[in-house]
Amino acid sequence: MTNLSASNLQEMQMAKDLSHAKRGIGWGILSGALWGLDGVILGIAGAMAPFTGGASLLAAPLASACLHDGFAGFWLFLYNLFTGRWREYMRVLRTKPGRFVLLGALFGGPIGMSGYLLGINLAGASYALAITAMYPAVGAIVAFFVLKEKIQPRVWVGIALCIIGAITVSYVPPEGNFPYFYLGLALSLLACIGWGTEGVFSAYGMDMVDPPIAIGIREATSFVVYFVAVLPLVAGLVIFFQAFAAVAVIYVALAGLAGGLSYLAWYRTINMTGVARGMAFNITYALWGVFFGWLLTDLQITPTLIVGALIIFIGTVLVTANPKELLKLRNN
Amino acid sequence: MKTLPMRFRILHLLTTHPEGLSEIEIMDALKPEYGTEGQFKRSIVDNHLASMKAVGLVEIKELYLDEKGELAHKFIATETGYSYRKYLPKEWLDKEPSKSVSM
Repeated sequence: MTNLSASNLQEMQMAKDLSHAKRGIGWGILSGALWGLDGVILGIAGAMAPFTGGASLLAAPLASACLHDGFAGFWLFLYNLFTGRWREYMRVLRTKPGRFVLLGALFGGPIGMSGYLLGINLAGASYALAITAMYPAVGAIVAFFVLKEKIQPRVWVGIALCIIGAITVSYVPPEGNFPYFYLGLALSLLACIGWGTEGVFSAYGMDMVDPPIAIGIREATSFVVYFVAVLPLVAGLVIFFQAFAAVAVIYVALAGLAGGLSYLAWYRTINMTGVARGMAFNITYALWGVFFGWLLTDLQITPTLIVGALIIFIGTVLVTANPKELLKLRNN
Repeated sequence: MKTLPMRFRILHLLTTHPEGLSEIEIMDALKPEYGTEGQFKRSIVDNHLASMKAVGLVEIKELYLDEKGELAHKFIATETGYSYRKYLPKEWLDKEPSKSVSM
């Protein structure tokens, strides 16, 4: 065994590195699938009391987002408890890398989600969805400049296709009258930037922090900020507490489980394959949302959905085509 | 002195050992601090090292086969890895404790 040449050893190492990179891709695909499932379950919960009826257009989705992140944070804490990582929470929060994770939590959680929901309210879903779906491009551009991430031309094209596919899948014809249209566009853009930069902040933090802890902190922070700073502003606390007396809470808890696992997979994939690819995997939820929607609800498959799903599929293939590119993620 | 997050501690340890450390040496050095925790596993430490290698914080100085015939490495911190020392708490910078860890 000791007679192996240096090149043999290099080959063995290359195989090992490639298996790490491919595991990262696997996590990415799982992240998109679970996020799609999460959205479908949350949609079912959103059609139930207390999220319907007289509830305002903002308070109900924000209360549901707060509950969702709270449950996700709780499930992730259990995961970290049983894998012997729980002490890391305080260690990370005491050190500077933990602050990058916290910033990512604020941008991706309350800021991103509130901007998105306000954008839908003020500018209509067709514009808000199209603008916010660009977040992988924002993430990739910021990662390119800030983290010096290596992003090959083929991967840029793949990311663009994933975005176009997601917009196609979620497209709804513009309708209605929006007096605060431009404010709505601005808030949608804020959400897009928030979701895009979350990946970069968390990627930088995870250089020094274990991904399961980073995402555990992210969900818990997001929950606390919704609960303390966002829900009181939109009169959402009532709905939050009413939910616990309703069947809907079971669905939100399940969605939180899918969401927590999805985020765990997403943070791992950001860490293992880079921000740009991690984002592209994440947005494939639009494709999975069609699949789970068809499976679990009465979603009708239209030609638009099929075309959008195909575009996402081609985009994902372009993003993942060459795992060897993942051996060195940054130009540093 | 407050314990660091384990991944950060592995990076810190490598910045105090410019000659490089193997996975086994890293595990031995970290045992007093993390040895009782469920996360203190070779697979988790390997994953930290692989992730930090992919983003260019650590690199492999030497590849060899250990006595079990498995691939082993000497890891060293890169320049970028050293630059992350700026995020260390002051008490860690002052004391450089890993120098007193017996190997």
